[in-house]
Amino acid sequence: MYRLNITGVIVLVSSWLSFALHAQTILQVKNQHNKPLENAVLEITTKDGVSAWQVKDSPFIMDQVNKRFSPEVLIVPKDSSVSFPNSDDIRHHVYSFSPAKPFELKLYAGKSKAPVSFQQQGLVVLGCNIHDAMVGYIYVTENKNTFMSGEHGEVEIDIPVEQITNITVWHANAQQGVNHRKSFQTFDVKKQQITLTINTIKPPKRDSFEDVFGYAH
Amino acid sequence: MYLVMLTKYRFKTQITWLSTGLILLTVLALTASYWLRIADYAEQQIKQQFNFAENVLNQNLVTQEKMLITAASVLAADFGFKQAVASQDKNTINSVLLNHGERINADLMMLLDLEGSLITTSASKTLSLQAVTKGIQSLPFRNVHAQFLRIDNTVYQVIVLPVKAPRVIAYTVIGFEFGQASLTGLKEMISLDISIAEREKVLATTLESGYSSEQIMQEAITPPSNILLSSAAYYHQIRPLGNSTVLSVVLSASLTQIHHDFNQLISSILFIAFFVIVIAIALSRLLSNGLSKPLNTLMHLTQRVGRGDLVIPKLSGDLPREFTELYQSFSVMGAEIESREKAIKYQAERDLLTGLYNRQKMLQELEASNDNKQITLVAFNIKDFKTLNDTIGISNGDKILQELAHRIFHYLGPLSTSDVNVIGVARTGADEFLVAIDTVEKDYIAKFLAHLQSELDRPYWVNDIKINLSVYVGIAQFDELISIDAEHMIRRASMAVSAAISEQVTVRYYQQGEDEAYMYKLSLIDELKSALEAEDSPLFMNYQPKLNMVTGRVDKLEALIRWINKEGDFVNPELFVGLAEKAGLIVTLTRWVILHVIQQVEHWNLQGYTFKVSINLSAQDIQHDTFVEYLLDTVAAKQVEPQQITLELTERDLAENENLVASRLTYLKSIGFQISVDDYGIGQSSLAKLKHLPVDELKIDKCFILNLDKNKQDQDIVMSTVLLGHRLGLQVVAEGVETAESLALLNEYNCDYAQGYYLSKPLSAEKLIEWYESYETTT
Repeated sequence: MYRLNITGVIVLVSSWLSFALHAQTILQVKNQHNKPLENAVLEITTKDGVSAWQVKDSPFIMDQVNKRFSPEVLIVPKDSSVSFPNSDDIRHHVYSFSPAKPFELKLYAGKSKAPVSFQQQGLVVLGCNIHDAMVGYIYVTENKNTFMSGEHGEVEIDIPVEQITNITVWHANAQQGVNHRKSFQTFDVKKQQITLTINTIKPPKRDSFEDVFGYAH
Repeated sequence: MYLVMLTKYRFKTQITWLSTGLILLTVLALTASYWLRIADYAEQQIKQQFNFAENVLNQNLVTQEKMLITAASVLAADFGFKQAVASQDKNTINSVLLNHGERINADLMMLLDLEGSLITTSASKTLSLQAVTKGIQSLPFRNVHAQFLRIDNTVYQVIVLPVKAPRVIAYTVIGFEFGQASLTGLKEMISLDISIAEREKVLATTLESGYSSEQIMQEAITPPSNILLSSAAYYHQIRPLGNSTVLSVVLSASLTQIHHDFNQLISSILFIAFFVIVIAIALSRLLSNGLSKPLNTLMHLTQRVGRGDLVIPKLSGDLPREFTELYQSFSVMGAEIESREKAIKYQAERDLLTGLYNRQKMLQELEASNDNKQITLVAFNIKDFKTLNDTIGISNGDKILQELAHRIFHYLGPLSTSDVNVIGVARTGADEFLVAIDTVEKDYIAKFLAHLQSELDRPYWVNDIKINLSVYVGIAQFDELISIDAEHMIRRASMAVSAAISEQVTVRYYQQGEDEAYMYKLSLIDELKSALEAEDSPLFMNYQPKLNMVTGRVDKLEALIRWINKEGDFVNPELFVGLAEKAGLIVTLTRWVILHVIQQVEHWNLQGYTFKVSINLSAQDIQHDTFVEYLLDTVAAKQVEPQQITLELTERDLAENENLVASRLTYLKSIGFQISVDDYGIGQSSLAKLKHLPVDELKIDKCFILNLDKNKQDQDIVMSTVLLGHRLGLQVVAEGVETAESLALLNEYNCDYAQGYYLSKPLSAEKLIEWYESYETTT
């Protein structure tokens, strides 16, 4: 866990550095209440088309910490494999019924068995059969220019605004359902900053009666 | 109103009605009160039961809901189920639903996609897809609480749960049938019949099958205002079923038991009321008998008193205290009435001064003893009692009357015990007494009178003054032959006393015919009254000529009134003039004469006959207030000179109220009337009086003239009277001249006028003129 955190920091720092050097555009995702949305996934198409994303050799990590998936949203290129280590001292039973990748990792603790490979683009919703409140998302894409919004709903990219032709936004709490993706061809541009708005619903409370039964859609 | 009507009935009936009425009223009030109370109470009970039932029902539904939720959530969380749903393999899903449904005994299992459309269903009953789809549309998905859902005619309690993997991928609907079985179970718990209705349609009910859906809803929507009055067997109430907007529960409480209980209560009240009324009637009979018996006794008593039977018998038997007091009051009242009656009777029958019978009582007594035909009435009158009264005073006079009454009593007291019975003693007038005895035996009466007189003649003492009285006694006797009433009997006695007074005899017997003569006089007076008022009067004037001895001619007449009564009889003028004087008719009679004579004189004047006519006046006439005025008015109205009228008065008339008569005559003489003294020579008047009176003429009474030619004494008296008259400056008239010799003598004595049958009897006005004409021609 400690190591992973370090790795995360390194990734963040390096990204920030590269952004800082080449930062040209800031994208911000907000909901209908003008609230910044964290963990939104933005897929950008430039005038050059979609730039392919090379698969890493090492697997991506979807950890389970404190009965939560960590990270909550993970963006992986197509054909990547993801490892599901269990950092909790309890067992989990991770599964997915998503058409992009249905799988099941039966009760396990500690290090996961073999990493799971995601050969198909699309959204994979992760659950735990034991802990219904645990929800995680793996966003499988071929597009290299796919980003996730940070704490303030912002992401800085080094693609100039005039180069962007389309932005597709996904968010777990989208009002129109978890599989909904919203595309933007025209943008509200202010000082190299693009604000994208997507309607969301209130996320379900955890560990409550409602959580058990959830909301429709 | 009711009470007023009651008073028409008998006492007994009233009491019976009153008590029965009160009981009925009480029963009615009680019943009404019970009725209201019980109706209220029953309704409250039922409502409480309804509330309880609703609570139970809700509790039951909540419990079931919890169970449902638990079961459903267990199912929804089942990984295998999720996996099956995710697989979207319809057959697998179906089998899973069926399997899980059986596990939890669910009657309905459905899987819906995220848009709410049916993916698959499994139910214990076969349901049409259309009905299911329609049912689903009414489900609010957002609510996790139990819902009621109707599919076809079956109601399900359902829960809608999302299937999460881990995000929602579908909805599962799990339902339990809420039907007859559930209702029956509930009915056992709440002891009420229960029905489920959608809007106004009953879907299921525990009520007996005879109850139609419409009937239940009709009764439920319009509940009876009073459950005891209602003929309905149930009382319904509609409550919502859970939070459904279309489904409701109808709770029905049976009224049969309440009706039955109430009817029993009313019947027992009525039975008790009937029982009490019977007792009340019996008791009121007893009570009213206890009242009406003494009332009847009192009623008979008052009827006796009313009849005048004032002797009240002693109270026999026991009566209530109030009635005994009332009875005694009646007794006292009877005695008081009796004594007052006696007092009234005494006052009505007695002369209060002397205590003797009054006239009225005497009449009664005489009537009562009229069978005993032999009655002697002795009436007596005190001589000059009026003068005595004036002298000694009325109160002393009364004392004498009392003493006299006492003596009569004292004398008559022992007399009554003998053979002769005293019928009564009465005071019939101020100083008039009457004794009635039942015998007519002469000797006895004589002895009786002698004793009575000697008794009454003894001196009387008033304030130490000795007074002697004497009485006039009048006696009237009656026997079998005389049949007259008591009134006439007393009158005859009175007439006898009057006769005794006028005849100045001590004892006077009533004589046969006196009463009839009296009656005749009375009838004459009546007839004279009407004669004076009649238009065509039976009265008329006759005129007797007076011969002027100096001239040998007739120039004076005497007017004499004549009367032929209804029977055509000539009534003696002295009689009816005398009666007129006594009856107060003389003034009217004289006025009649004055009017007719003056009319006649005027008539003659107009015919050329000039006579002086004399009219007879009485003392009453000249003393009458308006006599002078009437005479003057009458003369003034006619063409007659006062000098033609001579007023004739007797010596006696002139002597009465001498001063007034003298002054009036003086006045009349000054006007020209002639004054003549009639019947001169037989009265008591002195020559001295004659000297002062304004007299023109003396009329020598006919008793001196009638036998003048044969009687030397009469000749002397007449001769000297003529001489005396002439000396006093008066003319002298002789009346009653019947022979030529007498006339010759009068001529010799220088008498001025002669009047009599020798010349002519009194004649009517026409006859007189005839006679006058022939007399004038022959002389």
